[in-house]
Amino acid sequence: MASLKRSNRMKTVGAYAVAFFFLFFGLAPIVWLIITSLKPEHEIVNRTLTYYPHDPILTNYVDIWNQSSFPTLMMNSFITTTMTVVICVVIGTLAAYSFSQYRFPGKHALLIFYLVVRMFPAVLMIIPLFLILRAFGLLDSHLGLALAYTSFLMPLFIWMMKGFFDTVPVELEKAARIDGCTRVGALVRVIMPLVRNGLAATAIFVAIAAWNEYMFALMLTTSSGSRTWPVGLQLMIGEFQLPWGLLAAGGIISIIPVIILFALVQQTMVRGLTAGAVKG
Amino acid sequence: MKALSLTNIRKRFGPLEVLKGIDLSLDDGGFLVLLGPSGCGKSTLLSIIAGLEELTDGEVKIGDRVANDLHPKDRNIAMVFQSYALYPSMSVRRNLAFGLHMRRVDQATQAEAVERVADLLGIAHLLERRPAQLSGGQRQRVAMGRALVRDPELFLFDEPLSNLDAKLRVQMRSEIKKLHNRLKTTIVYVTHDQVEAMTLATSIAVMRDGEIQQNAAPSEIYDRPANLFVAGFVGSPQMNFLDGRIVAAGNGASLELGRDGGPENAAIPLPPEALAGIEASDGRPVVAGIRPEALYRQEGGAGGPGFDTKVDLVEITGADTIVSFTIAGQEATARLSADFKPSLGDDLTLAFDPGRLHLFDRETSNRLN
Repeated sequence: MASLKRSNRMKTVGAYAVAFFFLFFGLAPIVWLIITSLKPEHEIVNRTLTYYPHDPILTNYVDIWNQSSFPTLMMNSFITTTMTVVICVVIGTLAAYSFSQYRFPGKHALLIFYLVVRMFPAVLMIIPLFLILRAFGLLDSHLGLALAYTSFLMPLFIWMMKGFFDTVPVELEKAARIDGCTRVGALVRVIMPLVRNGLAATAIFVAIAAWNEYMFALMLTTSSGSRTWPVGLQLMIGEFQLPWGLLAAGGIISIIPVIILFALVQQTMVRGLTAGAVKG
Repeated sequence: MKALSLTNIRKRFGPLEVLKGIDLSLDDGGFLVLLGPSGCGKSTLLSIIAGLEELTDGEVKIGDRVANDLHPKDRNIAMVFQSYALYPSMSVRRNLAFGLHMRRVDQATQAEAVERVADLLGIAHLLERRPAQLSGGQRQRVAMGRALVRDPELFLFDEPLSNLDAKLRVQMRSEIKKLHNRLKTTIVYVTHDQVEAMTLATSIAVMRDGEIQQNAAPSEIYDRPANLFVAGFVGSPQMNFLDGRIVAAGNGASLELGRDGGPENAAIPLPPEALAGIEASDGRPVVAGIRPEALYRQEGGAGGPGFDTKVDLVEITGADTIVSFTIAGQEATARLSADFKPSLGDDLTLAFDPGRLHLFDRETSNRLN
């Protein structure tokens, strides 16, 4: 008995140890970022490492907001992200619904194609995308960048939403059509309320991916008129200066919208992501 | 007036032809059951009537309108689905009123119609609940209510009782029957359950592989099945099929049971009425069909044509005793009265009413007499 109890306790301790290790691994950089953003310059660039700011200041936050183009960068990111999400939600929802509920020629090939697109590294797509966007005069614009994002976020959106639509019985649309809806009407009035949580979860995934994207934004935007925050932040690193405090503050500010978004829809999102798994 | 006429309906999914020229019609107030095994095309036919599936060829007429190109919502039909297809996000009241709401019926009329149907089906106390909070039987009622509330020209039922347990199914079956008698609605009803078909229909269309095998009143389907498929599909326990030949004997004929050249052939003399309509070609190969309940025990000499056999298996259901036996090397069953409790191997003399003997052509499997 005693040894069984002890071995159980060992297991618990072991499990917690593993959990804390990975938690530390994930959280430490963010915590370090927060600490850095609160330190004055001389405390960051110092021979002796300080684990917490001796006299914490908010100057970094004030400075990056007032003395750089950071608010514009945030606004650009916001516009691009919104556009990406809107395009994905409108087109992706219709596409995912068709894939899930209808039979049409080439359906499986198309679905696999979408998956294959996701398998290529994004770098491969940048040059062709650059040429396409240039041809359409969409280079260095919010819409151009948003379209570029949909090239790799749309497949994700469609595959995720298809999973949610798959749980909806086909007969619901038929019933709604007999009751007087068109197909799109049935989708909006009857089906969408059922996949609302899934839609929220998927849209947030897309939003976060678009918000944080760096490489496409670096290649496809050139002016401050459309540049997003990850690129803008990186460009603040100059040849002779590396403003650690400002960069840290910028980083923290930029993850605030994501955190707020998560906080707002956390429950919906978890419900959406687990709906398929435990459907009774 | 015909409430529904289907002319030469064909449906192809790629190379697969699932409906091969269906002709059917239904009178106003009629109850047509499409009966057949799964995959026979009956649900596809119903979807075509509803406008949910496009047809490859043919004409659908609802009332006096050609409906081929009409949107489901413009066909003035209502449908009850196997899975009920209630809108999970709406209350029962909203579910019932949805069709009226979509047709822009004013609020007061909507409320009135919902109350009327809810009272009719005994679901008035459930109006504020969500479908998830209802039992199977209650959902079934709501699904029917959703159809009834609009007072359409034609009701379509797609296996509506399949998801209910046995007891509830019987109860709902009689409720549908009562509703039909009371409201004189016109109904097309799809099922694979022959008991549902027999009890509900004014007319049954038995389907197989996209074709109608027989379309007739239930009693006709049961008493005069058009071919072996219909004979075997309707009735439980299934009709006995025995291979044999018609052999001329004197001025009458006899049925010689047994497979060709088999050692255990049994000859049963038949009166002329059993052979009405059959050309007396000597030695014609036939399949003789006798329903288990058409057989009875022969005590003494009197009665119809009969034969001697032995009891192979006894199944007592309570209401009757099902006895399995072998005749001329072929297995068969008889449904006998419940007070008869034989032992295995007992001698048994069975007879049947020659009027209830069905003869089918062995090659075409069509009815002969």
